[in-house]
Amino acid sequence: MGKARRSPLEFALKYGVYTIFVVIVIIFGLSNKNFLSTSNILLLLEQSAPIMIGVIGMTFVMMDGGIDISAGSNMYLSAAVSALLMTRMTADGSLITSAWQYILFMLVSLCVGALIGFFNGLMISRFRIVPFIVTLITTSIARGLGMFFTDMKLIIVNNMGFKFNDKSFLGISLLVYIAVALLILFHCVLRYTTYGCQLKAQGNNHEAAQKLGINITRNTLISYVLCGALCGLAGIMLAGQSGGVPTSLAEGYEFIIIPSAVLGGISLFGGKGSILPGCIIGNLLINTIVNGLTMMSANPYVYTIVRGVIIFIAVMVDSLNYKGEIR
Amino acid sequence: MKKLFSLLLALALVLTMVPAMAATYKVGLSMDDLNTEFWMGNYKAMHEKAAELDVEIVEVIAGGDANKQNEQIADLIAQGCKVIIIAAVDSASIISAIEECADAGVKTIMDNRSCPDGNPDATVVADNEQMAYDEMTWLIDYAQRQGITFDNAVMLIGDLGDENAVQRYNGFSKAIAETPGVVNVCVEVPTEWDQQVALAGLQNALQSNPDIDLIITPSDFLWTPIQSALEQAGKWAKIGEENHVAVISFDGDVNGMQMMKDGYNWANAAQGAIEEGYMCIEIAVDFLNGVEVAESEMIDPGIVCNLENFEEVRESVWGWAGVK
Repeated sequence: MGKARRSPLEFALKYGVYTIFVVIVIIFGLSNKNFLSTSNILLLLEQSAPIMIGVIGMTFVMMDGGIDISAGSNMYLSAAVSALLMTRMTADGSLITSAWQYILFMLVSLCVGALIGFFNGLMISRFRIVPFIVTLITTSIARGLGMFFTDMKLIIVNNMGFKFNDKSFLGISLLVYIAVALLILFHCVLRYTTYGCQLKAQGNNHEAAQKLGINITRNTLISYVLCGALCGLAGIMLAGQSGGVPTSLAEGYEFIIIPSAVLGGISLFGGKGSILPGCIIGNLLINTIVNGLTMMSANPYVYTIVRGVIIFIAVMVDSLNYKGEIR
Repeated sequence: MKKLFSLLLALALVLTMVPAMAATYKVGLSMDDLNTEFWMGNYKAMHEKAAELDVEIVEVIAGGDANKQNEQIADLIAQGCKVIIIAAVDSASIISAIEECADAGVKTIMDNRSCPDGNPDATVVADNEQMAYDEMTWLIDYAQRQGITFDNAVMLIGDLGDENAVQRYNGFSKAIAETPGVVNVCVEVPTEWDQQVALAGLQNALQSNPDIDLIITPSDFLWTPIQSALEQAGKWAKIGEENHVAVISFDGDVNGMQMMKDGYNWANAAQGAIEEGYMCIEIAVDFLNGVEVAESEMIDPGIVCNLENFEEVRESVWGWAGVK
């Protein structure tokens, strides 16, 4: 029995994002000689790295059919707590220089993020509150706490020595190495562990998974903790990248992370998608377009339109691909 | 345990019912966001002046959400505020809230961001376009006197829904267009007032034009991404040093003034964050006392601090007080 042939529409729906990506790269590559330079490709990867880490976390939540609207606020609070710790540790005028200090601040952010994720997960899995509502509430609480702790001030971290723009190995930013390591690690977790398989199964049908004896409460809780922790880590990486923690850090970034995940093939309805290459392509596509538009000296108004169109395409493709019942 | 909890709860309820010492005046304050030193300075100044004039401020913060701000203003009307000071998220979206206030007999004062198509009772604003124009005119004049040109300038743009951002963009652009051949803007980068977006935009601009020689920023808020991007490109150098990239900025906050002192910033157009805050509260009190303001638009003249007048005018810039 031969394989059924895909229609062009089916092909476009399945690989549409990759096709768009290739076409865009060709167009921008022809319009600016620097676009396809090694340094620009590495820059694109560096710019995308923190958000990619957030997308990994969101993938676990979305795989379960959930959503985490608090991702952006989580990033801010986690970064703010670490930045405050930095302020304390450098009060004597010293600078952050050792790798251990970097690891400490990243761990602090990761833990703060995990705590927020734990709260979200607990409310959703144990108390059966709708994910959208719980995480919407956490959005407000987390940003409010961050503003309270920082007295609503911009904390400049690069002056304290915490910066990623000068951390590279073989010309590749440290941020890219961290993102790649996490992509590989969590790809394996989702694909090859019992937890990953169970999460996919319950994302397709919670009731059936429960009847099969899968501990859906525990799995859901873990997915939100992972999402929280990874968003926390992404937050401090963003701060180290731009050099500061303003109160608006990562504001609304959930609306970059979620479409990035959807663009990468992770379904809003749960149970479908993968870390590799799903978590890479979405955000990379958005950043590539912004990068290319800047290189073409595009009109400033075009950026917002283009981003809106991409998000629309992502959601439309996901809806057209979805065959099940909308919950 | 339950009894103790009930007792504490009852006590808390009783305490909330005890009327606070009522202030003489009550004013609503609807802020956009407190994400920059400018807004923090402006906000604190209003509280200072309010304490002095015995004004109770009922405040809400929209966090950059224009719809939320309109809803919050409706709440302030419901809470009995007869005057509302508004730092608008979006100059167009706020029109309906201003109309709602007018229908309810509530006076509106626009703080720092004007609403050209609306009809507020008073506007306290710096002439952003004029200040940006004056700042760029000084730079062009100075460059001509020094015999230098900026052939690869980057213009950062704030949020395009923010009237001030648009005015600054217009002011800079107008001055550049009037004297061609001195400043050539090769890339315009929209930042949405987001440091991350500004950083990525600047990095992209530096990739396409490695010879960038001037950065025009509409706010001192964007100094950290500017520093990060220039450091990465090996161009973070002081005036007179090799690889120096000139920067002119806006706001006059502590970061921008620090950069002027440290030798990175060529000019800074400073708005009066504190003066504007004081003026808003004073006008609110006038309205509550039934006094009408003579002019509906109060212009904060601002100060353009530059390399040539730095020593002379720095003390007058509000951000200078925090400079180390």
